[in-house]
Amino acid sequence: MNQPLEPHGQPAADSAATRAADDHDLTQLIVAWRGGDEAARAALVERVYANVRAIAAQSLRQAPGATFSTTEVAHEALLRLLGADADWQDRRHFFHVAAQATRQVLVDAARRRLAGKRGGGAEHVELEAALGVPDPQTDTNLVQLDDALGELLQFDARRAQIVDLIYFGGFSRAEAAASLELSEATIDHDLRLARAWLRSALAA
Amino acid sequence: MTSLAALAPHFERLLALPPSARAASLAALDLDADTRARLARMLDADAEADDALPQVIAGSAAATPVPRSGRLGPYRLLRELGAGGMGTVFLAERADGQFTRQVAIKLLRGFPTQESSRRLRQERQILAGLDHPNIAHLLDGGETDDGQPWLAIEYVDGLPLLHYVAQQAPDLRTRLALFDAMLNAVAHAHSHLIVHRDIKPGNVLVTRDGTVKLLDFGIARLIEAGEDSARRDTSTRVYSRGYASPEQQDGRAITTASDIYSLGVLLREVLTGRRHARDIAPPRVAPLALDAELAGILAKATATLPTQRYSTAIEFADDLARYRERRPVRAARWTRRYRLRKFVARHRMAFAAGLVAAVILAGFVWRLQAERDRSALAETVAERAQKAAEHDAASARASLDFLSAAFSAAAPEYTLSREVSVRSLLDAARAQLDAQADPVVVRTMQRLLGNLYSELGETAIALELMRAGVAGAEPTNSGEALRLADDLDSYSSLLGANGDNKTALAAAQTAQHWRARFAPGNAVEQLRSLYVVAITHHRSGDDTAAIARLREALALAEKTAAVPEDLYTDMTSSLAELLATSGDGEAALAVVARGLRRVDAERPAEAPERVKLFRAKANALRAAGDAGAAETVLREAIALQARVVAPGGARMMALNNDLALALNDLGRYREAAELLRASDRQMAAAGIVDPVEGAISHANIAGVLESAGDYPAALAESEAALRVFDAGGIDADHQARRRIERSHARTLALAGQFDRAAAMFADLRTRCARIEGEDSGEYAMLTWQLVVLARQKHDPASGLPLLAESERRWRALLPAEHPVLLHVRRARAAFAIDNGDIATAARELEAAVAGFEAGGALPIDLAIARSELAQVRLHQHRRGDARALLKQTLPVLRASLLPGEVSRARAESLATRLGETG
Repeated sequence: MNQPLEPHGQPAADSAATRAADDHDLTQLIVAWRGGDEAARAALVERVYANVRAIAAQSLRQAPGATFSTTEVAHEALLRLLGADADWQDRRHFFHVAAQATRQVLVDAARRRLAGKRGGGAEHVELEAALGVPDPQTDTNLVQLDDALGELLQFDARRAQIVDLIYFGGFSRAEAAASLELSEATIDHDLRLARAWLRSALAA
Repeated sequence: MTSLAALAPHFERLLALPPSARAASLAALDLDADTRARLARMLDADAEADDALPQVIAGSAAATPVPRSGRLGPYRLLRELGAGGMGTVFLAERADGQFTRQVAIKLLRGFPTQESSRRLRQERQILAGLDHPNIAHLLDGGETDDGQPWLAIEYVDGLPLLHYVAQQAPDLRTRLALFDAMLNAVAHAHSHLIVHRDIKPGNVLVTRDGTVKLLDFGIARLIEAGEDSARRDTSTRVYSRGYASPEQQDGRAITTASDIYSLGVLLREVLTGRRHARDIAPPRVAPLALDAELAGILAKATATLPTQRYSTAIEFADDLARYRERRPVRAARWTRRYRLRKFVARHRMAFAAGLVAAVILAGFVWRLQAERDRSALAETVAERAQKAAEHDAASARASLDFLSAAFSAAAPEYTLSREVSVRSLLDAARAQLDAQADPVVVRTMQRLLGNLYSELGETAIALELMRAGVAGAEPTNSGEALRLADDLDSYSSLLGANGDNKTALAAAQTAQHWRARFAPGNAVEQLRSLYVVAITHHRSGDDTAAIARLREALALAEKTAAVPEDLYTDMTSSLAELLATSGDGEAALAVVARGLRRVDAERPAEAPERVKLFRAKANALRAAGDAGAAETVLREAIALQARVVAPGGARMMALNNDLALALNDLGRYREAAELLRASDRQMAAAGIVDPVEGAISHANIAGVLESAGDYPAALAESEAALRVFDAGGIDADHQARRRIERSHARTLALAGQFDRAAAMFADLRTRCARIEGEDSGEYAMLTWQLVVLARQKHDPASGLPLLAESERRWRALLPAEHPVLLHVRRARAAFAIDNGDIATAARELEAAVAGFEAGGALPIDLAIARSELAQVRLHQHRRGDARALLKQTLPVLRASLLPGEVSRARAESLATRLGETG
């Protein structure tokens, strides 16, 4: 062992013992968030963070060409976290939170890796070799993408949300359309524009 | 940086231009250099075929999941597979080069004390003793440097159970087969005294080749072993809410029965997509409807008290195996029973439909017509129930899939295509029969194939195969004899459905003979034969013999131990139906009551068998004219079904249909229509999507709305039905379609659209002559409809020739004393009145009244004929006679008919006139 293992003080998805209490809190937080409470949103993101980490690993690793089923796995895990009683509005908001949280997880990790590279952290080398981990440019691009999305959110929240749902939430166009109560044509149109803009940000 | 909002209009305008024109337009825009460059990059990015964004995200994600590097014992961690309540799981491989085998490393959460580490090692030893092909094997284990326990487990590259079921196991048989493997695995573990404690879909993986693997056997126990004893009971009970048994949730002792409970919940979810009746989460698998037997199995597995569940996984598996093996027989019996019902429905209508006085419609409508249409309604309901039942059971598919799998194994050229049709396999098999020399094998295969073709709906081929397969068959032992008898039963059923009742009875009696000879002591087999023979008698019109056989069967059943409950309830409800049809409602109710007492004595309070008997009771009550009591019983049955079996499904649909018919009887048409709509929704929820079914639903609703006198709404529904046929590409001559067209035309006539109605009837009659022939009942019915139409138009000139033809055709088809012929007389009287020929009208109506009086007709029929005669008497200035007739008739009319109903309205106005003048 090169480094001590992290204690698992915060059990995730399947621990019913903790879930029994958490389900209730999640719903409360979602309600509060829908009421405009941004602190509730932060708390929600924190709550799903641990779970999303696993989901990001499972569902996005296989992208591009991620199969539908892996995305389903992610959604299912989230739904389990949320509990079966949540209504559609709750689910909708929850998926938005989850998509944002997924992005945050990935970006945090990318930033850490970039910092590690700069600081010369060597622990990951063996593993990275085994996994064929991509070059640092990918992490840089992700951070750029995140910045561009943050900017997009400032003046065009809807399009930013579409990108979050589709790229980080694993939503299909139809699901995103249903979730945002927009037509699929609008989703396509918005996505085309947002994508060109984001990619032009990466290419800069 | 320039915002997207500012760029968007330019971007879109440029995109709208042909690519060659964009550069010039871009250059012409009044923008700063940075913005122009950004816009150019956006256009370039948009033109690129591949999307860089997912690659960026995926690349980072691939790097993200492994939070730590390193080794555990001889294993090198490759990546994280997932994290859960029990800890984190990694994919790993042996680092010492001994094996290249990949394993899953489970790093358990928590930091055990020395004492708990010792217990944990002990438990691990026990778990390592589990060796079963359906259990992921525990290979190794140890502790990290800082004491955190880990386990190395066989790595299973598969799909979680529910995903596999959703993708690969559409039908009941494959789902049950998966479940069977799980039960075997659990039985193996239980025999080693290891309880899983956390059975849930995520702990069952199915590999690419379909092998089921249970994960995490006993891990929950290991974690508890690893905990401080002080915390053990409160903090770390590991289980999954939704699957855990009540005792587990309450923190009481966990036994093998706790696993049985979780398996029961899981089986329900695998089959229906729901863990329990109140589960409102969207199902993750295509739901299959549960029949009573399966529901009973689930109820037993998930009983609240551990002692009431299956005592072992083997017992659970055995019950499911019996269920599966018995399937084809059951399905056949269902079909026979359905045919009985259908026949009874039709039969009952001919004699008893007139009970439903409220069905008589405003306008000049003939009672018989309403009766016929109610019979059509009942028939379509029965057909829908059967369709649903077939869907419910999935039995035909199960057998056929099994056979196709067997054929695929034997004939490799077929295995390349999963799409190869069962039909083509059967055809190939049939062709191969010719090459087979052993006549015993040939006959056995012919019968097997006959059954399968029958399930495909290929009756002609099935009959031919069955005929050849039973001819000269001489069983040599009891197993052969009983199989032959089952096949003879199926053959009999096929023949009966085909109208060859004589041969059907002979086949059923041959089956009875073989059973008596080779299994003389087996009363249950005798009962099966008695039941089949009874139904064959019934089908050939001999209800007296059918009732006698069923009474004999029930008497034998009283003395016999272990009569299968479904056989008993089928016999009881059939007898009740036949008695009700024969007019002996009291006897029918007594039979049902006896059946219910037996179920009370032998089955738990909430036994699903009750539902069947409640249905029979409700039918008896309806036949006896007590629709109100029938409604009460049906509502009770529906509540029971929802509690005990499932809120949806085929039987619930049938119950809702029965209730709709009862409400229709009670004149509560809107409620009836709403129920039929609800039944539709259930059908859709059960995944029964069939254009014919959908159209029939619309038509049923149309029928009820028509009864209510809401003709525009009824027309809209029947038009919707016809549109469904069009959209589904259903043949214009499909029988159901033509029947619905007939109803539509009738409603048109009621709504006063005589010309359109006449054109449709005439067209239908032409097609009927081509398809069924002029001697068919349908042709007679359509001719009769044209008579009715002429009557509504007061057009004796065209009506009388049609009436003559109609009467000739009815006479050829029906016994001379059939009430239809009395209705013919009423029609002739009506035309005579139109022609001013009062003498003929009087003669015909006198004969009709006499006929109704003599034939034990329904009071309402007699009353209407008498009121019509009263009208004629008034024309004849025989006021005293008219008044006497009305005196007899008005109370009956008032009790049965709505005030606006035409016969009653006419009689009331006649009474007023007589009262005024006389």
